[in-house]
Order: sequence, then C-alpha cells, then structure tokens
Amino acid sequence: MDTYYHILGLEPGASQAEIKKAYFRMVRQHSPESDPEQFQKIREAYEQLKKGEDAADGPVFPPFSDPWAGKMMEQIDNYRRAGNMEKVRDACEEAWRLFPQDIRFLYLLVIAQRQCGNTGKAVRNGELLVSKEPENKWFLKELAISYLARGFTQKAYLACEKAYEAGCRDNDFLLTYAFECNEYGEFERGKQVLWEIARQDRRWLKEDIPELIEVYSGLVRFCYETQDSCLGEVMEGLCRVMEQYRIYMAEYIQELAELAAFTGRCLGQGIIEYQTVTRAFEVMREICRTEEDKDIVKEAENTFCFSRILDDPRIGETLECAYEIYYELHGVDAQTMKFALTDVQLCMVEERDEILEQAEILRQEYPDFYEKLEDFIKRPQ
Amino acid sequence: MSTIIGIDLGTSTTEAAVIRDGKPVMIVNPEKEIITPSAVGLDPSGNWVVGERARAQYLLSPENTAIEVKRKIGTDEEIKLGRQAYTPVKLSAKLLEYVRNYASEFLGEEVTRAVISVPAYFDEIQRQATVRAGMEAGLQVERIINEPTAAALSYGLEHMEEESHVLVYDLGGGTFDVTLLEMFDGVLEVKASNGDNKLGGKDFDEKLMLWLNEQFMNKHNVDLRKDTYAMVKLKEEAERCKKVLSTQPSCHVSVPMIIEKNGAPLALDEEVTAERFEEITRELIERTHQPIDVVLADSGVLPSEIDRVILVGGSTRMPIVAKDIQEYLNILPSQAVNPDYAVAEGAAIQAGMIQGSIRPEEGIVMTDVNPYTLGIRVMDEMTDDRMSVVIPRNVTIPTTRSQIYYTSWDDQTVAHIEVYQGESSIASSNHFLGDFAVGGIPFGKAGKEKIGVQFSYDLNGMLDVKASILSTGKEASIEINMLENKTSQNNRIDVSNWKESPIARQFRTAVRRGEKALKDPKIQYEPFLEEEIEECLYYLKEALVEENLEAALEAEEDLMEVLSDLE
Repeated sequence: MDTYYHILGLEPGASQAEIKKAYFRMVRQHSPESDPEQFQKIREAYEQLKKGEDAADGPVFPPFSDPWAGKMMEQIDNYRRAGNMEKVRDACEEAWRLFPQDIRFLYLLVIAQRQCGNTGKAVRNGELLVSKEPENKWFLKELAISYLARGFTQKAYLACEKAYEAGCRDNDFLLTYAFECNEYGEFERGKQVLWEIARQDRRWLKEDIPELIEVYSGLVRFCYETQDSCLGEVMEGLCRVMEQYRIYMAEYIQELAELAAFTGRCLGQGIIEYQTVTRAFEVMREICRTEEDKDIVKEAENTFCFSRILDDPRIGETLECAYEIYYELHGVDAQTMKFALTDVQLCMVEERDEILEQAEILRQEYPDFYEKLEDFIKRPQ
Repeated sequence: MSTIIGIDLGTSTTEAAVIRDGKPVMIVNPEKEIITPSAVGLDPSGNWVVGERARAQYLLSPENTAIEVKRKIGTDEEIKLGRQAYTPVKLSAKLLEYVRNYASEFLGEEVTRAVISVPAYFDEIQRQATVRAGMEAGLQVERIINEPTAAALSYGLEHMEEESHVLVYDLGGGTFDVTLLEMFDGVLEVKASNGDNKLGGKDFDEKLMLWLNEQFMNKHNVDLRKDTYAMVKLKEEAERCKKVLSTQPSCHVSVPMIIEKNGAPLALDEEVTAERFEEITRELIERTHQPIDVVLADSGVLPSEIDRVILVGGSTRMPIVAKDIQEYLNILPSQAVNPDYAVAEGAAIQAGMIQGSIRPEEGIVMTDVNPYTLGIRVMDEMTDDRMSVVIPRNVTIPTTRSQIYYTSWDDQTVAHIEVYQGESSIASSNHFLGDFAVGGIPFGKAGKEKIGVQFSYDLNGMLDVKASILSTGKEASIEINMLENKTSQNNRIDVSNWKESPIARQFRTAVRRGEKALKDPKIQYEPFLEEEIEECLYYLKEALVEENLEAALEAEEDLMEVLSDLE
C-alpha cells in the first residue's frame, strides 16, 4: 500500500480527495501519450487506492523493528501485486521467523495461509495472533474467518461475536457474521448486524451491489423469522436503493424478484402491507432491460399475489383455486386444464352470490386476476 | 515534420481541421465549404466525382453514385458504380484522397499524415478498414480516435478549468455512441464508451420513408420500393421532412409525379406532424437507452452525478433526442457549439498532441479506454469454448493485465493461446485476433502446471500477448496490430541451420521422424497433433542451435511422446 501512495507522491492515509487530485496532477506530468510506462504505474496506484476506501482501514502496526523487516515487507507487497499468493505466504513465514517482534508478519501470514488453502495452519496461527492481543478486532476477525474456512462453525460464530463486540464493522465481516447468526438461529442479532450495513449513508459502488442485495435478502428473512414489523421499512429501503442505483440493478432482477416474492409469506403475520411490495415490483419493472427480465418480475409478482389471495380472508376457496389454475398451473395438458377450469366454474356458479361479492374486491385490488374472470362472471346465468 | 490533420470521416458528411496557434481551424474545400458530403461517384465519362458534385449527381444517376459508404466499411459487401463493383475501402479512400488534396491546397504543403475519427463502438475490423482507406489515399494514419472522445476534446479545450462528469451523446448519420468523461484539472479522462454501430439519422429517414410508402400504398395500391427513381425522391423528401420537423410542428411532403400507374402520374402528398414522426421513430430512440446504461454502470457514475450532457452529431438536432434524454436521465442536454465540427476539431487536437503543437504542460491531457473486452479461449467443466477475460472493456489504456491458467489434461505439453475480442461468453462468437502456442510444458497431472498469460494494450492499438510456463520460465508471445491486422510471432529464432550444431548428430533421427510424421497423410485429420509436432520440432531445433544438450534431450522426449500418439 505504501508504495501506491508513494507513486502518487502522497503520504499513507491520504484522503480520497487528495488521491484524486494527486492522480490527475501526475497524469499531467506523465500523460499516456508522453510516458506510457509511468502512466500505467500511476493508473494502477490510483485504481488500487480508489478501491481501497475500506481496505485502507485496517489494523495499525508499530514501525518495523529492523530496516530489513521493511525490505521484506516491500517484497511481500510485490508478490501480492503480482498475484502470487504462495510466494506471499512463504515470504511472510520467513519474515515472521526472522522478526518475531513484528506481529504484522504473523497477521499477514494468517491471511496468506488461508488464501492458499492451508486452513489448519491459518487457524493455529490465528489463535496465536489473538492470544497476543485478545482485544484486537482485526485479529479476532481473521481468526473468525479462518475458523470458517476450516469448517469450525461453532468457534467461528463465537469469534465473530467477539470481533463484533470489539468493534469490527467492515461490511464483509458484518455479512459473514449475519450469515453465521442465521445458521445458529440468532435472528435478532443478525438483523441488528445487517441494519448496520443497510443504514449506512454512503454512495454504493457497482461492485457493492451484490452485497447490498444480500443484505436486504437477509433482512427480509430475519424479519420473517422474528415476526418483526420493520419488514415494511426494509422493503421501503430496498425501493430507495433500487431507484437510486437503477442502472446497476438490471443484472440482479432474478434475485430482487425472488426476494420480493418471498415477502408473500409474511403477509399472514401482519408484519407488512402488500402495497409496499407492490411498489417494489413497480420499481423492478422500470429497471428491466429485456422482455425476459419483465417475465421474471411478472412471475414473481404472480407468486406474491397468490400468497396474498390465500391470505385474504375475504376471498373464498373457489377463487383461490381459480387463481392457482390461471397462474400457478404450468405445463399441464390442455385436457386437464379444461377440466380444472370447468370444475372451478361450476363451483363459481354454485356460490354465485358470494363470488360476485368477492369479484368486486378483485376488481379493485387484483385487477389482473379480475380481467381473467370478468367474462365468465358477467355472463348471465 | 509534415503537418498532421484531423479528419471526421462521417456517414453523411466529412470534415477536416488542423491546429493553428494551439487552436483547431476548419479546412475549407474547393467549393469554399467546410462540410463535404460523403458521396463518391463516376461521371458519364468515367471520371471520379467526390463531395458536393457527387451528391448532386446522386439525384440524377443514383446507380453511378455511392453514399453512406461508412455503413458498409469493414464488410465484404461491394458497392456498384455503373457496371464496376468497388470495396467500401476503395470508395472511402477516394473520399479521403479528395480531403487530402484540398487540405494540401489549404495548407500550402503536401499533407501525408492524419488522425481519423471513427465511432467509439467500431470494432477492430471496421477500424482496420478505415486505416487501409487512409493508406490507399496516401495518408499515414497516425491514430484512430473515437468520435465522442474527439468531440469531448474540442469541448475540453475550451473548458479546461471545469471539474465535472460529462456525457457525450453522439448520434450521427449512421452510428450512435455514448461516452462518459471526467474532466479534472485540465485532464480529460474517458471513463467508458458504448454504442450501437447500426443506429443513426439514416434509420430515422428510413422509418419515415417506410411510413410514407405505407400511406401511399393505402391510397394508390402502388409500392414505391419497386422504383429506383421514386425511392431516390422519397429519400430526399424524407430527409427534408426530418429537417423541417426539427424546427416546425409539421411538414408537408409533396412530390407531384413520383411514379406512374397505368400511364397516369401519381402524386405523393402527405402531411407529417412532429408527433407522428416521434411516434414512428420512438423505437429507434429507445435503442439508445441500453448503451447509456452500460456506460453509466461501467464508469460507476450515477445519472444524478452527471454534470452535463453534450449533444454531438447532426441527428441530435431532432427535438426528440433532447426530450428523451431529459426524460431518461433528468438532465437538460446542451448542444455542442457546432455539432458538425466538434469531431474534426477534436481529431485535429489529437493530431496536435501527437505532433507536439499542443503541449501537455500547457494544454489538455487525455486518457482513453478500450471499448471491447479482450481475452482468450479456455476450457472448463462445461465447454472448451469459454471466453476468459484478460482485459475487461472500458479499462483505461495503455494497460497490462495478466491471468494464470492451468494445464487442462494430464501430460499436456503445449498450450494454445487463442486471442479474442468481444462481449460474448462463448469465445468463438467473438472476433478472433490471433493465436500462438507455448510448448515444452513439463509432464504432470492436469492442473499441475501454471501458465501465465499477459496482455498489454497500448494507445496505438497494439496488443501484445505473452504466455509463460511459470515453472520453467519458457515464454512465447504474439504482437497483434489491431489497426493493421498484422500479427507477428516473437521469440522465435531461425533454426534452419540446426544441422550445423555440434550436438546435432544424435538427434537427426528424431528430427527426421518428426518431419516425416508431418508429411504423413493421416496427419491432416489431426490438426491438433500436427501443431504439437511442429512445436516440439521447433523446440528441439532451437535447443540444438543453442547447443543446449539438456533441453534437446527433453525436447526429443516430448517429440517421441507426441509421435507415439500418431501410431
């Protein structure tokens, strides 16, 4: 990291505004036209530092005990930049052996070992790391993730909890923790953790979007599990995010549609008003770029509507059946379809008065479904 | 050094500019006009006519005149002038030659070098064809510049102190481009480009022609499309009508005698309102939305963060364009100072930057992106035709990126690197750029050996691809000149005199067996094996020439292994 700052002529820890200013100043001095090689270095430094908005926020270590330790760190950085994790791991191991006072090498070794798949070693060294500074949130976090990688989920959960209590708040970690909360049935805690991400007032980048959708999916699920009426608030938040980041959302229509359809299950618990979800579907329709996307949304909306109808005490069994036939019965042959329809129509005739009453509700609240039945209902008997 | 001029070779019109005292100046043609119609033809005595004269001739003898050649550039399609067929490159060259001549006249010196603009979303084939046209016209093409980038440069030179995100919306005669830039401290950074190579003002004309023809058929039951003359008149009227509707609420289209039916002349007579025109072209304008979305997503800029939308290209004069942008992005766009000149001026600025007449210390500095994804074909569990991305689209150039790959099967000795360009996840659906092989991979289980592949892409459209076997350090590479469609193998030495090597003797039999195998008729059914044998033979001979016994023994072993597959 230090060398990236150095290339842009900055001190480590410079702000994003300073980084940007420095980049453009350097480009003027080394334009792609006049100095393509130096330009590429400047560009790489800028892209890395721009991306590292959160990553820059990591553990702080004391200065190296020895100038040679600093040299080894440079070498490790070079290997890392070249993407050669095995060399990073070996160099960290060597450095840690030579300079046991520099705990930074142990910290980097844990990460490198885990990334190389040496999860057993990562766990052992992670435990060692935490034993040296039991309150260090970054160390606790690395240990938790190493436990997970090794498959020690129980230990991972407890370590996550400790890291969280110690104040670890980076989004990757919070998502991991929330996932563990779900595994161990700690839905209240999970909800609290995810809200911390969703309520952040920040400009999300394109790369953040999959994570953000996961956060909302998790929140929906936790609200369902805990019967929490803040589900409405979750969906409203999702609508806002979808509108603001419309251009990034088209790729994730499937996930978004599934998420909204799932809320249908929550209707019976009275923790959400259907209008909120209908509104979310509306926003999704605006996001769609292709006909296939629109079909995905349409289908999810039908599923949601079915949940609504099943849940609506004013709608009787006959119309529930009718809905199922029209919307949920896929891939049956024409004969069966016809038979099912006739059957439901007979029932409708039998219960004519109630059906007419219910049809009025459909006309107002379920117009799409009403249209399908309209001809039959209006037909004089 | 002779002066480099900037040329905007457009679908409907062509312009040229040059830098004078640090500012672009438009070059006038012999008719004392800045705008030259992009028309080329042959007059009755068989002489070439270009520009305004060719455009005038088009009405009278469309069969001897070519217009909108740019729409066909990069294709194999030929264009007929009279009885003779010409390639789009040849006709574009005629146009450029005309520009070269009048620019030489204007500057009082022989012009031999140019920067030519193309739509950002032109693919490599179209770019290469444009370069060839330039060369045939006697111009050394110093750089191909993207049109929206050029337009932004001409805007940027006037607004150097601004700090903003600018979206350049370029709807020309035949192509649509959208580019997002960031201006900061005198640097103009292109963040992303996208577009539609088949969407432009001509499509709006065509929609209107179709609609007029439909009305005509309803009234008279005669299809105008069957008559060349009627279609030329219809086209002219449609173009005129489109222009009128840019300023008037309606336009009367009237051609008293457009065609004959049973010996009686029929008249085309139709009132076209602006609303009607918008209705029939709505579908076209909606096609601009997806490229806009892609550019915003790739650049990571939200609509609310755009400070300014600049309209470039004659077709942005249609009111529907500004209206649609305002609805879609909620920003009121502004017309470039002169949408017809901006691109040529920008090309001239780029020329000035190359030449040094615009200096980075005092003037503007620019960075650009590669608009298409670059990668190689790889094998995975599902298919052997997956596109693995090495340089994603809309990355700032020059750039160097690398990826690590693994051997796909046990004892694989050669890795074939096929380079592609395009957005499909199926490699072979993309545009093939070149291939090469790196051999001498040590034996081992599939996935054991790592092959590092590195792509370097520079401002002049040179793509350097290097592959190396990480465990041995053996390398091979290829250089692809994207602009001239030339590839060259590197790191290959001349091995023809291998026999003179002092250690050649004991390997003669092996070489002879390998060469014999290549002549074996069976080999033609095994193209893959053939390549492997060629590779092994090369490495053996290389080792001999370098007098490296160890490597020679290794190569011999590889060769024998491969040959045993043949038996």
